[in-house]
This record gives sequence, structure tokens and C-alpha cells, in this order.
Amino acid sequence: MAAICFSFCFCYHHRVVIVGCCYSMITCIGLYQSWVLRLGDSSNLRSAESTLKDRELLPVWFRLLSVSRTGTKKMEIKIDFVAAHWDFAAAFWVIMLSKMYPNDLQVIFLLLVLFSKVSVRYYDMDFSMSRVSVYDKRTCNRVFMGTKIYVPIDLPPLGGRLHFKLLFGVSSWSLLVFVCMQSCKVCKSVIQYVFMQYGRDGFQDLLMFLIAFDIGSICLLYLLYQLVMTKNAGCVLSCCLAYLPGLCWCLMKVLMLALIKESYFENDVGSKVKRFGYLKSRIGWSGRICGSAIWPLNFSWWAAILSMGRRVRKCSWERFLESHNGIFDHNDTISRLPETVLHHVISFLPTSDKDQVRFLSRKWRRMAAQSQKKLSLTGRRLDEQELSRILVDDFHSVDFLSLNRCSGMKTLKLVNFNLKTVELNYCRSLKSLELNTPHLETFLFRGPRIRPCRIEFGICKQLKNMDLSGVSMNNMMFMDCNKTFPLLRVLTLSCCDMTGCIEISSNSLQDLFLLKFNKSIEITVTAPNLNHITYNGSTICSFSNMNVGRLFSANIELYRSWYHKRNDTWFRNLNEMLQCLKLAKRLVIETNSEKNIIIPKKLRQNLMPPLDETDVVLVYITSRTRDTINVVHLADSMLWISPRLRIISVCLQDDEAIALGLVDSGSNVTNPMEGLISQVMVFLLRELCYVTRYRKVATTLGLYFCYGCYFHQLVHGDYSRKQENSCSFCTSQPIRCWRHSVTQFYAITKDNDNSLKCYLKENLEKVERRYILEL
Amino acid sequence: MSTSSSSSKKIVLKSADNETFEIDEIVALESQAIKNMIEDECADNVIPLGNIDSKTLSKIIEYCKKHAESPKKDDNADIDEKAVEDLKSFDAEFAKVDMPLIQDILMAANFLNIDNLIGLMCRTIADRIKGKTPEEIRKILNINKNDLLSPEQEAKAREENSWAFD
Repeated sequence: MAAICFSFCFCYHHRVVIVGCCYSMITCIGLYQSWVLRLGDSSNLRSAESTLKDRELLPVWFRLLSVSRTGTKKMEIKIDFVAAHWDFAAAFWVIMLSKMYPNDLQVIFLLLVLFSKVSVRYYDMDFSMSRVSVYDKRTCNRVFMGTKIYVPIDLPPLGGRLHFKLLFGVSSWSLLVFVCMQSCKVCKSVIQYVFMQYGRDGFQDLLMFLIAFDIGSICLLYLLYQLVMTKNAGCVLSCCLAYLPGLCWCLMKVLMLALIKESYFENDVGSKVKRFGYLKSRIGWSGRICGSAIWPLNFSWWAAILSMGRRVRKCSWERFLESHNGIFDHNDTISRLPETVLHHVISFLPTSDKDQVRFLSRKWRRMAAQSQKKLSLTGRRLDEQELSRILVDDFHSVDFLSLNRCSGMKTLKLVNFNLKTVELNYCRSLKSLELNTPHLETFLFRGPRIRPCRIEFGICKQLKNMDLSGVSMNNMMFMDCNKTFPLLRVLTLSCCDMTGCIEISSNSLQDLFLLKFNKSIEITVTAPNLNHITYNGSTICSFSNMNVGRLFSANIELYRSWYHKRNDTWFRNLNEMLQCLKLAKRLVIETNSEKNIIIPKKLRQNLMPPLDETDVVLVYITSRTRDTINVVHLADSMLWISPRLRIISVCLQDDEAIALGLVDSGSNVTNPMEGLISQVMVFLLRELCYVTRYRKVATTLGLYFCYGCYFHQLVHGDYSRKQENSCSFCTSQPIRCWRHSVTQFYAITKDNDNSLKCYLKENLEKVERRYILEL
Repeated sequence: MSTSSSSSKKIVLKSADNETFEIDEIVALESQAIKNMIEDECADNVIPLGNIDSKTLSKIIEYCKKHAESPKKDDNADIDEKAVEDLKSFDAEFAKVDMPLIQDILMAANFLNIDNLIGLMCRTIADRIKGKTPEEIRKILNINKNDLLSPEQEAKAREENSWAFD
């Protein structure tokens, strides 16, 4: 028994050791120059390298093995974790890197992998475009692909509470599911249960919470589970005995989860939110303390507790604010000069020297503060009075204010005539905000979805760019933008709390982003100058009264979740939505399954094709399953949706791209085959750059498309010729649909995949010329 | 207006160490403060300047004389290029004094409200501390050390405050 126990212990420890080793060499590849630039003020890779080495960015539980440059645009960072502090180390790594690269997908993904203790050794990661793929090394299968992972924003500063809440985009929770599933199959069922029970929001919170706790002991659960599956009773027993403390810990954790579930989902919203926050801190604390008591050898917990107890040091900046006037020496003539004169002196200094000046003395520091244009506060505790005092007394020429994770304010009334840009990121305690800032041009608000903030705009007539997320929307807010925000050009509404119907009416609006709509609401847009619209959500909102005469491009991102049924209503809504956007010349559809956008044949008979002016349709399928996607059905549906389109491009996952071009007879192709490939590439590159304008455009784009590219080019013939046919579209419309007008098509295809080619051949009546190049 | 009489009128300035300087009124008018005094007619023949010593005052008078002589920019649109160059080189030469004197001059200029001189002195100080470390600047400007944070505190402050001073 003991022997088994020991061997198991060994196994377990061995496993741990392996795990430790796996993480000991983390290679960050592909850190592009732009990210590196953010490393302090280093202007090139060399200085970034030295910054990393010199500044002792790494806490004690890391050992920086090497920083080397592997090219002009790449840098490799190797780190060794001290195994005993793994949890802690990962946490710190997360914090640090997220500070260093606040928007970087790849780094963040790495962090998640680290954080969740998924072995890097067994998975290869491929980062291209805005997507992340993970491949199993042995089978070379893709096990995961994620898109749009958002930065873990809500991490505390070093030395603060060790509590993580990562915020993710619509699809990235799948990453976590993956992570959890890999580390724990038991966890999966828990997660499924929670998800089914409480929907995505609750699920996300719980999941985060789960991760915030500790995956290590969930791994243990998984181990147990596997042992149970092997039906080796003795082994199970010994394991239980050997890891009784750990098991207790796990059970407690499950219990705590249950507790949270109970209290979190009460009826009253307000108390729910409050209680959740309270419980989070309560259980987090008691849990940790109990955990440490049970498992005293787990040093990281002790470290966590110790660090939790540590008071955050008071910044010297605060000290400085407290003591306004220093005592001056008699010889110190310069400091006795009036401040206006000293400002005059400072104004002659270049920016770099302005920084130096504030280290001279308190007075000089205050002076430097007063002439400062940009103020950003991160992780501070502020109250409303203090903030207004800071803005009036200490930093009175600030025109860029950014508050990140500043707690302590419940309401905030911002009255200021200097501010041009205000950014409020996750100031969680904030419940209501009033802005009276007549010169404000850019306003960005990000808050948690579960605790939306109410915002009132007083006089903000200069506002050009507004980005609201986690806001409790007032449906009337954008009803008359011409009066309230006459200059508004870009409007982003993201995961906002609203019901019923929202009306947006603005003559100046050019770009509109409606993101993360999970509830069905009615959207009315009157914006004659709108150029671009993006809609992102798990459901399809009903668009009505779209008055968008100058619409050029539209993006539709549908990440259907399982509880939104893909029934007739779904497709009817889709059809309606497309109809509202039919003026768009370029349409991009991004979805997690191609089935979301293939309108069933039966339904097509009752509907009219929604688009008739759209030239270009780009489809992204970011499927997480490895099912093969029926390209023919997809192309067929797309051609039905827009019978007169010229080019379709379909990007499947991220290694296959299908482009289908229907070129009208006007374009003169002299040397079709040669020009074609380059033409397609250029086109796709351009299109993709456009699509990914708001994301990262990877430099590997070219290669990405060379790999597995299909291309078909169709040439429309003289479609004014009278034709007799039974096509419903052609009979009801003055123009011919693609079936009856295309006379030529060009194709570049893989030799083993003829389905699309055959489909086109069958459907095209009058094909005069055909070029096929097999790759 | 009263050109001949006022141009010949003399103003007497008295420094802190009881030295008197007799200057033309036109020179004295470079100082906004003295100009105001004269306009308000609260100035007797002697204007006592209790906080300016004679060394500083003579320097300031030298500056004012030069600037009063040279044609003003807004007087005539086509300014004499040579005069401007001349004034520039004078300013450059004038600024070649040690830091305590510069500070005294700046102090006095601020008191007397001579805009050009304030600008010149501020620029001079800025030029001298440009690209220097705080320690060097402190030495140059003779800034009180008691007011400072200790070196380690300073290092800490730098680190901590980097967020507030982007």
C-alpha cells in the first residue's frame, strides 16, 4: 500500500516536476518591434533588450535566462521559474507582461497558457493574424483556435491582492474552457453545469473565479478522476490518503463555488452585485487562509497571504501633494522665484529635461506637474473631491485624463474646461458619471458588464469619438446627436446594458460599432453619412429604419452561442439585417460556424436575396471544431444572398482561404493565369488589411494566403441580352443573377478539391472560357 | 507727444546698497513696473529699489539702454536686419554671466517686469540645465538639499511616479 502510495506520490511529484520543467523555458517568439517599443522608452530592439536585462523587471521567483535577438523584429525571452513559487510566479508574469504589452494577443495567450498550467511542451502555438492556434505536437492536430483575446485588464498592481479577473471577448472563453478541459475533465462538467444554469455572464465570472483560485488542485482532481476511470481501487485509495489535505482543499473549493452560485444569482440585481463582490473577497480570503492552513507546505499561499497583508506603499507623489510648500534655503534663489517665471524656464526645456526637473525639489516637482498635459492614474484609491482637487490645483493644464482601475468613487461629476480626452477604465465602484466638459473630444469608458455605470452628458458638444462599454444605456442618449453631439464621428457601444430599442440619429456619424449584443433589441440608425458599421453579437438584433445612404462597408460578427437556436427566426433576422445593410459595397461576415450564415434552401424560396449592390463579400469562419466546412454550400448561400457580387473570399479557420471572384466583362484580363495570382494576393491583402484594421495585421499575411488558396474568377457576360429562364431572381429583377450572366471563370485550385469548381461548372450556363491552374 | 521734454527727463534709481543710477526716462520705460509708476505719478525723482543690489541693477540698466536704443519691432515693419543681429549678439554676450547673477537679474527683472529680459534669462537658465542630471542641475541652480528626497527615495519616487507623469 505504502509502496503504491509512494509510487503515486512519485508519479504526482514527477508530474509536477515535469510541469515545472515544461514551463521553465518559455519562448516568446514574434515579439514585433512595435511591441518592443513599448518597453519603457527604448527606441529599438537593442535597447529593449538591455531594458529587460537592466531594469530587473523580473521578481525574485524568476530567473531571466537570456534575452536574445533572433532577427530584426524578433526577440526571444527565456525565463526560468523557481518551481516552488509557480502559482505566484505565473501571476506575476501575467501582471508584468500585461503591463508591458497592454494589447498583445500573443503574449497574453502565452500568459494564459502559463497561468493555466497547460504544458507548453506538448503544444505548439501558432500566432498569425488575430488568431491563435494550438497544435498538439504528436498528432499535429489543431486542438484549439481562438480569436480576439482581450487583455486581462483587471489585474492588481504588484503587491496588491492576488485576485484575478480576466476579461474576455465573446469567443475567448472557449480558450479557458479548453484550458480547463485540458487540465481537468471534472472541471468541464462543473463548467457545463454552470453555463447551462446561468448563461455566459455568470459563467465567465465563475470560471474566472475558478482560475483565480488555483488550477493546481483541480489538476489533482483530474488525476483522481483518471485513476477512478482506470478502476484501480487500491491506487485511488492510496492517492486519497496521500493527498487528503489537497483533497479537502478541493472539496472546500467546490463548496465555495456552490456558495457563490447560490448567493450570486439572487433576484435582486443590486444586492446580487454587492453580495458577489463581498463574497468574492470573503471567500477568497478565508479560502486562502484555510487552504494554507491545510497545506502549509504550499509556500505560494503563504507568500500570497503575506503580500495581501502588506500595505501598498504610499507613493511619494502623494507625499508630495500633501506637503505643498517645502522649506527653502536662503541661497536657493531660483526656487524663490515666482512660479510663473519658473514655468517660463521650464517651457524652454525639451520634454526629456522636463522630466528631470521634477526631481530637483518639491517645488519643482509641483511645477512640472502643473505644466503637465497628460495625467494617468492607475490602481489608485480616489474620491471625487480628491480628483477634482488634483485636476484644479495640481495638474491644472491636463487635457488628457486617464483613470485605470481607480476605486473609491461612486459618483463622479467632471466639470473641466481643459480636458480633451477622458479615459475611464474599470473604475469599478463608479455607478454614475456626469460629464460637463465642453472641450472633450474623445471619451472612452470601459466598465464591467455586470455592474453598468450610468453616464450623463452635460455639455459635450465637441465630442468626436465615443467608446462606451459596460454602460447602462439610456435609450434616448443618441436619439438626437445633431443637437447633443454635433461632431460625433465614431461611436462604439460595447456590452452595454440596455433593453427595448435604441435609436441613433446623427448627421456627422461615420463609423458605428455595435459590439457584444447578446440580447435581442431593436436598433434604429439614422446616419446619412455613415461609412462603416460593425455589428458583433451572439444574437441578431433587429435593425429597423436604417437610413444609411452612404454606407460603404459593413462587418457582421456572429458568435452564436448554443442557447440561441438556429431556427427560421434566426435566418429571417439575418436576412432582415442584411437587407438593412444592402447598400454596403463590402460586406464582411465573421462567424464561429458556417451554418450560422447558410440560409436553408427551403427558406430561400420565400425570401428575396437581401443584397443587390454588394460587390465583395468576405467570410471568416472561426470554427473551433475540426469539421470540414462545406465550401460549396457556403458559396452557394453567399451567391444567393448577393446574386450580383464580384468577389467572395472565404477564410476557413486560418490556414485555408477560398477566394471566388466574379469579374464583370468590363475588366480586361490579358494574361489571365499570370496576373491572376498576384492580383488575388494583392486584393486579399488589401481586403484583409481593411478587415483587420482594428486588430493586428500580421506580417505573415502573404504566406498565410499562399497556403491552400482557392481562387475562382468569373466574368460576367453581356447581361442585358434577353434570356428566357425560370430563375426567380432574373424574372423579378431587371438584372440577371450570377448564374445567367457569368461567361468566364478562372480557377486556381488544389488538385484534390474539385467540388467548388464542379459546382460552378454545373451552375454556370454560359461558360465560354475556363482557366484552371492546379497548385 | 511730449517728445523733447520726456526724452531728456532723467530718472534716478536707487539700489539696495544706496548707490544711485541716473538714466534717461526712455530707458527706464523698458520696465513695465517703472512705467506704471511714472504714469501713476507716484514716482518722485528717486525710485528706491530695495531688493536689487547695484551690481544687478547696473547690469539691468545696461540691458535696458541697449534695448531702448535699438528700434522696436512694432515701430516699423521693415526692421533693420543688422540691428536685430546686433541685438541678438548683445543678448548672447549679456547672458554670459555666472548663475547667481543670472538668478538675481531674473529676480529683479521679474520685479521690474521687463519681459524681454525675463525671457532671455529663462532661456539662459534652460540652456544651462538642458541635458543635465538632477544632481548637476541642483549644483548649477544651487537648489536646497534639505528639501530633497534621499537618493533611494528619489529612485523609488521615479519608479512609482512614472505612471503619473507620462
